[in-house]
Amino acid sequence: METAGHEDPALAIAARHALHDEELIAEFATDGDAVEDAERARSLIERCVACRDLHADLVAIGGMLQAVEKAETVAATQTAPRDFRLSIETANRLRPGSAVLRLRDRLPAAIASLSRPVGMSMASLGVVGLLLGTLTLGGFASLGSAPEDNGGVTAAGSTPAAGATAGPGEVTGPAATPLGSMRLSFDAQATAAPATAPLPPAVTEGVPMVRGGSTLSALIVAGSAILLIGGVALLTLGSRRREPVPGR
Amino acid sequence: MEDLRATTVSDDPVQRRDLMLLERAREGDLTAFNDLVVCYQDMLFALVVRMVPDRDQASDAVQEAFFSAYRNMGSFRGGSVKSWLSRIAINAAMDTQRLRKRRPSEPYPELEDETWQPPADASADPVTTSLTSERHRVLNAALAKITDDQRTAIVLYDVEGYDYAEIAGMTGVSVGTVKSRIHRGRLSLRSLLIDRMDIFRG
Repeated sequence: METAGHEDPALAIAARHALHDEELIAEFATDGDAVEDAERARSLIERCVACRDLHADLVAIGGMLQAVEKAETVAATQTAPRDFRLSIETANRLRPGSAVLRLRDRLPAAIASLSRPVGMSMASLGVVGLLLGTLTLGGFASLGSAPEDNGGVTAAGSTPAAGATAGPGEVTGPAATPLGSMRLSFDAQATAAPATAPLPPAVTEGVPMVRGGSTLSALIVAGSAILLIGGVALLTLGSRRREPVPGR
Repeated sequence: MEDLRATTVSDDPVQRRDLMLLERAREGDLTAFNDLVVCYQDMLFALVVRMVPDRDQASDAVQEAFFSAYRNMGSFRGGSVKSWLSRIAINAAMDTQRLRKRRPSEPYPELEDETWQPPADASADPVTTSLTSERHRVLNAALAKITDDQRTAIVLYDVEGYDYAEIAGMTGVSVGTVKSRIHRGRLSLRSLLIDRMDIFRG
């Protein structure tokens, strides 16, 4: 006897069995001698009561499972709860190899549904862009003409780091634009400086920036105009597509 | 190259019928495809409901299987139409199991599927019939509680009689994994049935 006399025999069996490979027993119960380690499985079943019980139970369960009728046999006596036949609509939807055709069928509807919101967005962006572009273009144009009015010297309105403009006359200049108002504040500070003072290099560097800015504004205006035209075209297209087609 | 269908056409009248129906379905005949559906819907449902023991979910899986079969008729490369449909249905059942895993709801109902109940034999002893019925009921309840992978492997191996390699091919895992799922599944069943093993031993 392997266990000490004072131990519960059932406990001792369970303790020993805990170390045994149950999956091997399960494998042996399923595949028998075909199992690679069949000898060890047989040995465990012979020596360990728990392994023997496990093996017997697994064989019984396996037998019960294999006694269950196959699906084919069941189908002879029991019907499915639903009719799974395909309707014509479903079949058309599932039609094999028709992905391209389906895409082609759906494309006009997709375009129609997208054209209105996209057109609206493009037109809105175009209007906003046109407004901004026109305003900035006006601002740069007035900046560009300022040097002629004031002895050919100015600071770029968009570059406060440039410091100051030369002439106090600009205070009364076209200050309706944002850039104009910015220029106004710089000009106010600049009035403290004498008009004949030598200009720092940073001030004269602003002139090409004005030219570049006006080019950018012109581009914005042109782009916005294109956006607006495209948006309106899409909107028109969308409205036409939404009209019911006779005969459909 | 030899046409696989040509070799099987003359063998089995059922298979010949299936291949003809499938051929017509591939040419656009929906009635032919629906004839195939009628031929196999009960069998596929009986198969799937054992893997997905919820009848509604099993129905959805079978419906999806027929959709898939219709979409992929062109991929049929000969052989048995029944096996082809079974494979598609098993895949659909496994997809349903995966979906269920991601969105766990309630445990599978235990007794909804009566296909586990053996048909009563008029000549059988009532006690034996009752005992067999009880065994199946208890077994069904336990099967509904083990993991989807284990149940699928056990159903395909023990009940449907597929071999390890076939199951591995259908489920996309190795033969070793299939074996392990079957053995662990049986161990799980034994743990669940430990208090009722008396009716199985008898």
